[in-house]
Amino acid sequence: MTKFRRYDKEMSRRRFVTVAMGGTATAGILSLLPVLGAARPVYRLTPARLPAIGGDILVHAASDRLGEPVTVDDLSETPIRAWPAREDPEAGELVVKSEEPNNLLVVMRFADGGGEAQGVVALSAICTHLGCQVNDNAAQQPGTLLCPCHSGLYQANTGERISGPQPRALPELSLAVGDGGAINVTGAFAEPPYGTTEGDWNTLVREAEQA
Amino acid sequence: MNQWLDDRLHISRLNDKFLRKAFPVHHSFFLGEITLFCLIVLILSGIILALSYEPSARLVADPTNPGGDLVPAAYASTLNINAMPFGDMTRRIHHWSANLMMAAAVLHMMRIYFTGAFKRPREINWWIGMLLLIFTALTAVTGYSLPFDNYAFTTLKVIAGIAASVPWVGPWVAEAAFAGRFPGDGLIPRVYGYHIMLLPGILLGLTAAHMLLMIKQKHTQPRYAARLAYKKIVGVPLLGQQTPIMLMLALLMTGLVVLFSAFIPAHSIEYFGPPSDQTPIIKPDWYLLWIFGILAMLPGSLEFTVLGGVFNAEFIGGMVIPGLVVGLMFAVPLLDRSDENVYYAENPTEHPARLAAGVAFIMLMLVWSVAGYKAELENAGILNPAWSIPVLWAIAVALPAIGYFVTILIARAIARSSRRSERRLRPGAADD
Repeated sequence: MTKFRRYDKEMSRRRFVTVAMGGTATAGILSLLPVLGAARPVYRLTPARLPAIGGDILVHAASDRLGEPVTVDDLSETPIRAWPAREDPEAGELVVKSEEPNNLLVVMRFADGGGEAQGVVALSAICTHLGCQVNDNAAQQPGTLLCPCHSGLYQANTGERISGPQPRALPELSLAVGDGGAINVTGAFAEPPYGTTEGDWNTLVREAEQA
Repeated sequence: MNQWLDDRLHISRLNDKFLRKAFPVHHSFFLGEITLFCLIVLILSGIILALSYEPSARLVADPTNPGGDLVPAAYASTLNINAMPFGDMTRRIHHWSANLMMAAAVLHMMRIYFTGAFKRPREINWWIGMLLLIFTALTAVTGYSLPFDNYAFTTLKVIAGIAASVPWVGPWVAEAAFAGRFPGDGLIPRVYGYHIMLLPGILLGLTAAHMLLMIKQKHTQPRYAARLAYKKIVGVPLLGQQTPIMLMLALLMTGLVVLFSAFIPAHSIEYFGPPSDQTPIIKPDWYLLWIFGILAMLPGSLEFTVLGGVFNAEFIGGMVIPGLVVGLMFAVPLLDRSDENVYYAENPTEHPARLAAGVAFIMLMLVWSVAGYKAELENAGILNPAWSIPVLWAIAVALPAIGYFVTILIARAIARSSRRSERRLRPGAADD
């Protein structure tokens, strides 16, 4: 279209404005991006957020008996809810690990069980699908646990999945029944519970053991 | 007065350009207006609710049981709102207006789809309308999370879980969106900020754009307008004639919502109680039930890893399939390749494939929504748990397919008989 070609090396006005606007807009947007990071608060690992590991005991999670140690006599095939808890060696107090909601457990006792755990089974109460708490399902199908969010069904004595959208079984704690019927945890979940990946889980357990 | 204002503001120009905008008169053209009126009722009732609501998960005494367990402040303040004069009523009006807004928006969209009003030149307004639908649903979901009862808590947990299921970035996204690991202290202030500022702001902006484009491009004309004055805009002007109709409609709608609210309570938060370590049996509201159904219909074994990113059933059911469905809805204007601007609303039966595709889509949504009741169907003995997933998927494919072909046959039969009767009654007449 243009009849006359420019031979001077000067930048045209249009090009200058385009480059200047593009440059400032890019710099401005990039400088604002880190603000998005502020939307995600820092997560601080406190003793009450650490996972259950060997040496913990189990305490009641129901509000009327909150923090009382669970004993064998409290248990039946109807699941109760419990938190892991650990003696703080410095303060001498029991720290209930209830600040991490995914630490919640369901605890049952099956008559046919033997061994150190005397038939006591403690499973993660958190469904591996989307993290809702599993409920007793005795009314519909005895011996199973049901997650009501998307109807994931689990075997109550092993945590294995029966049906539903959940990808994995409920992880199980290894237990031993101690003096006076107290429930002692002897080992962490072998599989990561809901909300943690394999790598994070191993780090968390190591942190808990060092604490 | 008019003269005084006109001297200063040139009102007459505004009058000519906007206030004389012709509105076609047809009952199906009021669905969009009902959506708008619902938005206004929602904003007004929402302001009243926000004045008394405390967006915090801080534990306070339970107003219904002061000596008992502490409850989150958000939950306690919702109980206090219920106890205020007209407090429960305001909550009900807010709740039912939100449901009505979704319903009116969906019906409005069906009208646009079935009459071909989304076609060139109105594609942009279809896309804005889609965004409005999505953001209305998001606003509604964040809204029913605010009372922070066990239902809201579980809903938020599931949403945070779906957000966290995105491959690679999921956990970071969920923590950024919901203020830390679920349920963080910042959860309620965050959702509150979304519900009362971010999302309504987006909704208002999109609504303004929707209206301006509609005024600029004019409505599609109803078929009878072609008979009255071919290729002329037929309708009543906004100021003077359409305004009283709109006012009456708005007042009638508000009156009906208030009447409905007087008899039908909103979701009762006392029934669900504060968040606890028990999960209640919950279903999402009807406009999200289809996503819930998809999640229920996917087996948990569906999980694979690509380059370190885990693609699981939650991501596929909660994001990929809904994303494809919404993407398909966005693509609707692109499926029509005509180069001519559409001027008159089309008769749905004259476009059998489009009509049938719409019917099949609605049936698919309904089947997915019914699949949300999978557990109930299994417990009632209607579905065998061992076969429920393949059976539901088979129905989800078969019913829409049958609906598609039956609709095409019916539409063709109607078109044939109407052509025949037209020829007999009015030889040479233009179709209307």
